[in-house]
Amino acid sequence: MNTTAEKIKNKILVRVYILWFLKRVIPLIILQILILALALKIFANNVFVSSVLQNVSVAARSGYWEFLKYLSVAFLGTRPLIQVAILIGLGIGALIIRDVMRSFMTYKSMWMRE
Amino acid sequence: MENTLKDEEILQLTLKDPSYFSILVDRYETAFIRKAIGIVRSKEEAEDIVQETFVKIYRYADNFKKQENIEFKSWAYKILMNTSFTHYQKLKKNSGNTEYLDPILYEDKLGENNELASIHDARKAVERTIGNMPEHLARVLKLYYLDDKSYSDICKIEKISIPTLKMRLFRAKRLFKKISVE
Repeated sequence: MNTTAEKIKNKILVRVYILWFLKRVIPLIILQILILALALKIFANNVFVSSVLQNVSVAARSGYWEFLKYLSVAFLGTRPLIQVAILIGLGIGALIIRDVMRSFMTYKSMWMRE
Repeated sequence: MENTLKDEEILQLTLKDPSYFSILVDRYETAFIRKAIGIVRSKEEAEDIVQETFVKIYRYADNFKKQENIEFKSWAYKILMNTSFTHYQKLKKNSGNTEYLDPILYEDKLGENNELASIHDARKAVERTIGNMPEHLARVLKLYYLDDKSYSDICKIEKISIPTLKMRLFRAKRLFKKISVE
């Protein structure tokens, strides 16, 4: 392919990528962020965050095992609503990271197909 | 393996992974540029048209999915022609010339529920007319207008010089017009 055709192809692919990003990725990420914000709001309304953080720092000083034990006991000891909010928050956080990574990978692979 | 995929299948894949779109660009870019130059007679404009056409193809890929029995190629060419005519109109307006193309061509806008298969019908009608022409004239006309071959490609296939080809195309077009009117 000559350079002019390649230049046009590059411009087309960039525009197609932007379209895909705006149409497919952005709405999904916005939805995920809204759900994450809701989960965090539920969490913050029901948990005294500063005392949790204080306890976390104390547990973290006692070693990894104590830290993990503290987290699991705290999680199991809390109300079901908070447990669900934490699980949703973690799940959505993972999905956001996956989508951001996928967007980078897709951008890189735009010029790799023959 | 990706080279064996049909255009329609690739278009479906692009909805999830836009990187597949580069295969379609590779397949049609050169032919599209040639076709657009044939309409607007300007390389720069033709390049803009081709870019816009590919972006429209991607934007309306969802619509294509819903229309069965339509080839990607004819659908894509329809978009190219519409985009080219719109650009042509703008060019004419900007240069102060009020001459327009045949309304049947430029009023045929995208998005309206017009039958995309009509390009197929037109193609069939053209093929029928070409079938009634002498073989050597029909061949060059078909290679140039239907198969989108360049002058140099046709010269190689027909083993003739470019001036001969131009003359043959001129005669073929004149005869085509005459047969079409009859």
